[in-house]
Amino acid sequence: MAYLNGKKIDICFATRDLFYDEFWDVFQQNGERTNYSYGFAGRGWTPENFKPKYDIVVTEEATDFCRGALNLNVDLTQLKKADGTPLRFDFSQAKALDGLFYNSAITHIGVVDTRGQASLRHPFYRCEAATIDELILKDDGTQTFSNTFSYNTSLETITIKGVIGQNGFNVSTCTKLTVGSLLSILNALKNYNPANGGVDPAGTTYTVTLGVANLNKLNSNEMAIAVQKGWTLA
Amino acid sequence: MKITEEKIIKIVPSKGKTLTNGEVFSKLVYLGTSDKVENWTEITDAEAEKLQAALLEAEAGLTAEEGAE
Repeated sequence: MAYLNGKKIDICFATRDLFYDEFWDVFQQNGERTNYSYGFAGRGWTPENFKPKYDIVVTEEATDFCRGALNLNVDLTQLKKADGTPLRFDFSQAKALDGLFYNSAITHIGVVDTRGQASLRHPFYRCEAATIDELILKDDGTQTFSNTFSYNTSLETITIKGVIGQNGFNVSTCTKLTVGSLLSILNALKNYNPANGGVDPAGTTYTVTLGVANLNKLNSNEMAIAVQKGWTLA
Repeated sequence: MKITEEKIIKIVPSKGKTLTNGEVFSKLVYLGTSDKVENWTEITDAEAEKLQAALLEAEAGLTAEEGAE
């Protein structure tokens, strides 16, 4: 038995807790860390050691946040801090999210607010997540997409908030997507058909790539959601 | 009550071919209201794979290899 700050404590648990506190206080800068680029990248992170003490609130960069975290097969929405409260991930103010969950084993991602990003460059490339609760896009449809979901072959469920207004949105390798998820994507497409109240595409043709497997899940009424807004489905 | 008939133009490539508009590659296309059949051409599957791999490579060195980290 020992004493710490006047309190009687069990030395084994005290040592463990001391090391936990010391490590995470340094790693997360006592909760003040704002740049998490490569923060949890690599194979060293596992469900056993991924125990952040503080919420992860990114106001600088989160580039390659969990890149290559192939042993981190965790549900991010179920994680708790040491005090028992949910571990919060906030990317809404991040300046960069390129490669956010690139080639990682994360199984379930919560809300990813990307409204601060001009482009979504491979955030979920080869990610193993089956569920992304919400992907929040800008409302103005200006965001560009580059291999955003390439090889995310596990993805089944996603809800899109905001507007898809640019070419490059491609979920063709996400062959397990539910019809509900596909409809979420189609409903998020910007209306480029002036004949039904949309904006003039000014000579640009817009295509959203769902892939044959996903296209075959949709009936003609569902496809019409996109087609009538001026979008080609591929 | 308003009844309309919506026609969707569907394009399917010939056997061994892939459709492309220069940016997108697909085995099946449903044309949007502002798109035209002439915007899509057929190329061989091999050519399509090559072009797609090149596009992937050009994008910050991404590859199709698993466990590339």
